[in-house]
Amino acid sequence: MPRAEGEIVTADGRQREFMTTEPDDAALVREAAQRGLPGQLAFETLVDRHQHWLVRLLAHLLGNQSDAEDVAQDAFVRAFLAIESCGDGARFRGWLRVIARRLAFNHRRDSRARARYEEESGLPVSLARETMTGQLGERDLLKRVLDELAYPYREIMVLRFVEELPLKEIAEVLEIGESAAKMRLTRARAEFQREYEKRGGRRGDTGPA
Amino acid sequence: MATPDLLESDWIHGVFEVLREELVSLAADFGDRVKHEIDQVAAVEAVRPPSAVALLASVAVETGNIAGSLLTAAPATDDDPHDEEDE
Repeated sequence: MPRAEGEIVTADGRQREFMTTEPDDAALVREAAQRGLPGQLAFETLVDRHQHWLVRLLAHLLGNQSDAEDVAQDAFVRAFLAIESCGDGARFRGWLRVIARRLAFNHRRDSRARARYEEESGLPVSLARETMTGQLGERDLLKRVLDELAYPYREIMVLRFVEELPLKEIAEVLEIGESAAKMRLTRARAEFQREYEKRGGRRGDTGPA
Repeated sequence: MATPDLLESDWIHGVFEVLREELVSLAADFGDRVKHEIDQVAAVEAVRPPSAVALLASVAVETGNIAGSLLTAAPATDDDPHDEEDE
């Protein structure tokens, strides 16, 4: 989260001074909404600030860095065009996340349609999947299990356990009610656990399920 | 069901740590590509008349007025009652 002006971040004076002079998201969104060159520059600062987490989120949703960058670029352009509708600029990150999530959903749907067409047309499809799951490292195993989950489950697992969003924010991003989000998360967890253990993943001793 | 305060003690949260700590290495030109795209979009926005909708609306009204005036004028020229009276 961006620091608000005047907030004390650390005991380090230099960092504190930097944080207090760096415009926060709300100020940048306000500036960007004024349009013109200053507005564009303000928005580009937002791009610099948010590009890493956005691409990471999309890479986990789409399972592919290249697609993630394409969708992130699209998300930024759409956000720029609609910056006036951002509302509370302090929540720019959440607003951008909603845009990106919608685009990722569409991108995935289109990719699946393309793959289905290629398969039905007898065209070569993606490389054969690795079956020796026993040789996978923890990271690869986790990604493989995420790949196997139904997309709504994958999506909610990423939002919860990678983005670490509380249920309320997850519901906002998914544009569903909080109780629906809770139910989906419960099912996603169960499905994840089943797939994870089936592939040899072991529950760590980190606490209760 | 985990609640936000229980997230840290959730074993699945522990499993996902490897993804949370994963560093994303963006393509070197990613930021530049985005900014270039925004630059282009902004340029298009700048040349577009600010009141394009109003302009279109006024054209439509004007066209309607012309059409309306032709329709009302036509009977007067083709079938002028004064001509008949003169005859």
